[in-house]
Amino acid sequence: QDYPALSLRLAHPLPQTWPAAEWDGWWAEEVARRSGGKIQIEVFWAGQIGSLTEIKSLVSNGAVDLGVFAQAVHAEELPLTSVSAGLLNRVSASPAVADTLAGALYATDPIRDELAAQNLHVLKWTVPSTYTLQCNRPINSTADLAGLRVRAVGGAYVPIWMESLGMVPTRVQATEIREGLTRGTLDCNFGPIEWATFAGFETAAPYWSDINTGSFTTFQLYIAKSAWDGFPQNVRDLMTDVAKEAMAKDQAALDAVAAKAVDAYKAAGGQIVNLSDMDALVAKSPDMISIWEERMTGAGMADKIAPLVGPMREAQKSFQN
Amino acid sequence: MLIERVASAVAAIALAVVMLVGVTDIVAGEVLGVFLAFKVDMSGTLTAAAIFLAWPLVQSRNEHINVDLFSGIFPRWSRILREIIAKLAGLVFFALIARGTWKVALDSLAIRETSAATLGYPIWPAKLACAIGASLVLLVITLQIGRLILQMRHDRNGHS
Amino acid sequence: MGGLETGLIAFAALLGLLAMGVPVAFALGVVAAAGMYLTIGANFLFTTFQTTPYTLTSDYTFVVVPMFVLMGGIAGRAGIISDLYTAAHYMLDRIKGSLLMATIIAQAGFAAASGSTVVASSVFTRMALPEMLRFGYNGGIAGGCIAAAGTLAGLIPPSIAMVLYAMLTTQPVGELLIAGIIPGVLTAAAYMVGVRVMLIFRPEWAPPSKMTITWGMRGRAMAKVWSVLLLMTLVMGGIYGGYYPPSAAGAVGAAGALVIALSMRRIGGRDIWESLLEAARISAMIFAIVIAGLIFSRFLLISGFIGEVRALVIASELGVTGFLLVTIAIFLVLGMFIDSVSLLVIAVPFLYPIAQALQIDPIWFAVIIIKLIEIAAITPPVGLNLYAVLAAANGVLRPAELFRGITPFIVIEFVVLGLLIAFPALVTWLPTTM
Ligand code: NA
Ligand code: NA
Repeated sequence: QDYPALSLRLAHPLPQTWPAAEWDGWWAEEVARRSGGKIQIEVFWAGQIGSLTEIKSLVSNGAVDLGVFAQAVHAEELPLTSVSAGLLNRVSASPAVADTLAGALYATDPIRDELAAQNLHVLKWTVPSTYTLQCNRPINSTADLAGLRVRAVGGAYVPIWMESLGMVPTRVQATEIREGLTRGTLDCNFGPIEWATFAGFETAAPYWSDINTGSFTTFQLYIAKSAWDGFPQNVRDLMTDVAKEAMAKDQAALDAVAAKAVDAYKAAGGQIVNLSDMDALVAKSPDMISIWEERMTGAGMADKIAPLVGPMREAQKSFQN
Repeated sequence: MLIERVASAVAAIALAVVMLVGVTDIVAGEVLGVFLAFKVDMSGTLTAAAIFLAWPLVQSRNEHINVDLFSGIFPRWSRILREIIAKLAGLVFFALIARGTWKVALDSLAIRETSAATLGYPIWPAKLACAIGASLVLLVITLQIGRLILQMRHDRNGHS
Repeated sequence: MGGLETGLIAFAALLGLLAMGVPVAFALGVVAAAGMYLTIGANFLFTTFQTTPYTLTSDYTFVVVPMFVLMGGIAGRAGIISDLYTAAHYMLDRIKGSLLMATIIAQAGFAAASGSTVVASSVFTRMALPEMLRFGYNGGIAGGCIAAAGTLAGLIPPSIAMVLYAMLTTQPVGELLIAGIIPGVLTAAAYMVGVRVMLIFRPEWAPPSKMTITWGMRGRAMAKVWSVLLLMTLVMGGIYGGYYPPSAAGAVGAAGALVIALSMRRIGGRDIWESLLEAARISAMIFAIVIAGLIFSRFLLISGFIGEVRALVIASELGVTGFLLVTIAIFLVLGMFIDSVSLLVIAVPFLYPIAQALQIDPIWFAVIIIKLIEIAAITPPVGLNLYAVLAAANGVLRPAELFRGITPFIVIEFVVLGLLIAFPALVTWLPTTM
């Protein structure tokens, strides 16, 4: 294969050691290797050349060629794309289903158009293990959720789900979570177990609830569409193929990564707390897809979401608690 | 000038609100168990607006921190010239900020941006205030440069 | 051109502009802009100036900066600081150099209510310098003591420098703030011992005061110190005890200072308004430098400068000790020319990754860096605290006089730095008890 010489820059918001971030690094190195060194990709980790919220603009404007960010954070500019991350609970049970769902949604016309309008092309996406609650007190029944201050993550819909169960969605800076959990200004962290142990929350939040809200894509690797369209077909194929492989390797490794995190959590004294009335929780949980449909219809976007609802309902079926 | 006084008055009020919101959230939370959901967004956006709106006053009072220790090694006549260079650097710096912030503000205004995490909290007014603040700095610097040039001419005429 | 050359040219241009009197923020911003334009292109330049200023100023973590300034401003206007100074003066009257001692103690107390070393230096210059000159103290030593003790505000929480550091490295703010307490108190103690030793050799620097101070005066003065103790409890106790996160401590502290001042009937609407305006102005000055510094550091990164330097450091196998020595040298040299906030913003994004690679304790490293930038704030020719003192002294103190007077305090600073390096537990122990 004859590849053109390219020197690209990738802005990454996370440290290289963050769970699964290594696969973005692997992708960059593998593209370089398979192109015989013709395509060089320099990764700037840990938000060094742009923080999490800045990277979308950097890619969109073509200021950097590639960037990883959380699309859920950009719900206002990417109302359609962001929901493939922001809608949770009863949507996608397993990381595998979430992975497939994300791919299916990116392939729909409305999302492709929305991304193209922002000069974005999605190359790969990361799906962690399922989102769960790690708390500084045991959650024994659904009633215990009332008044619980839980860290709200990006996206407009997570707070709706939390509030429907009486939780208080709380905005906390990433650097203040552990302190908040220790001192009680925050009751629960909300996120994948491997992130929780990476950040060292196991002693601050030793009660891990078995309430499982499912998984979804968190961080995505985007490329400036203008750059993408200018690449020869073989470059695009190479990048796409390596991205697919990276995602497959990531998913294949995920169980072991999560298991290791669970071991670390337990070793630090963490324990799993089973909810006594899971049926009540399920009954009380709103159908987030319907809420989303209503809001989008209200915003005059019924046509645009039509192709997205099907894959979401399909993924929802796989949910088991 | 009146305009930078008005801008910094808005900045002062914004900071007062940030203080009140911050302390109300803690007190209401500790006493009533009720937390202000919009605290984070409101504090952040108002602080940004306060900073941008205070810049015109800081500029007109020439308060930006500088190193005036080496001024002795430059000849006397170069003072106004160096001041003009400093002002031009400021003009470039704030022109870049103003350009970027107007883009941010207009994008935000176009979609009447609200916070993604705190339902309904409007973000766009603060961004607009930031763009206005940065633009006022440009106005202040331009007037300062104008005054320096007039002074330079005056000095030259006076000495020759 | 390689990253190393590009970076060195940028530093030379930066120092040139600074020497010409261009404000630090503008010099950093313009050099970074030119550098980005020439090495990466207009797109990166424009986008960085588009996203960074708003993102940074609207970051909730940073809201504490104006709040800490506001808190110090209200406390100053309400006379809470002069109460403290008077109390320290009366209590220490029988000790040699009592006014210097009182300045150090009162600054340590004020440090617990103010996050800004510059505010501390200027407030105490207006208050303590005339007193010391009136009693025939050496002006340089008096000013030097004020400038040096001003650095305590950066170590003892609340500290703007610590918040900036936490922001630059995504370290937990609360632990950092608490980690500064022991080093801050240690520094204050070292100043007092140092001053005492100094006066053995040069007793003429601090003639004995001829004031008669009764125990009644002492009692009345001490009775007024409760306000500072309350503010201290509000900020440090709130964070340490977990009543609120560090990001909220600023608002609580500012409101607390306001309530105390109002309850003492020491503050009017005008003072409150002035304090708010001052908080906006000082924060605007700080953020201009932080924004420009962050953009400058991104230029250094993307131009390849930092990568090449990091590779050099790692390839040269300096080890932890070597790296620390290099770090100290960098701060000493740069600290002579660049003020502390700018220095922090320029140096940390570049040194922190190397420290991480060398597995240096991040909290300990943070305090060492804060100590170094506080030293930079008092080393001539460019030291923020020195300027604050000179500006507030209204001409009664000449720069050369102050630069001489600060020298013994710089020596003391290095003794403390040595202690912190030799006994890391001085820094790391307290946060672990949280
Ligand atoms: Na302080
Ligand atoms: Na210095």
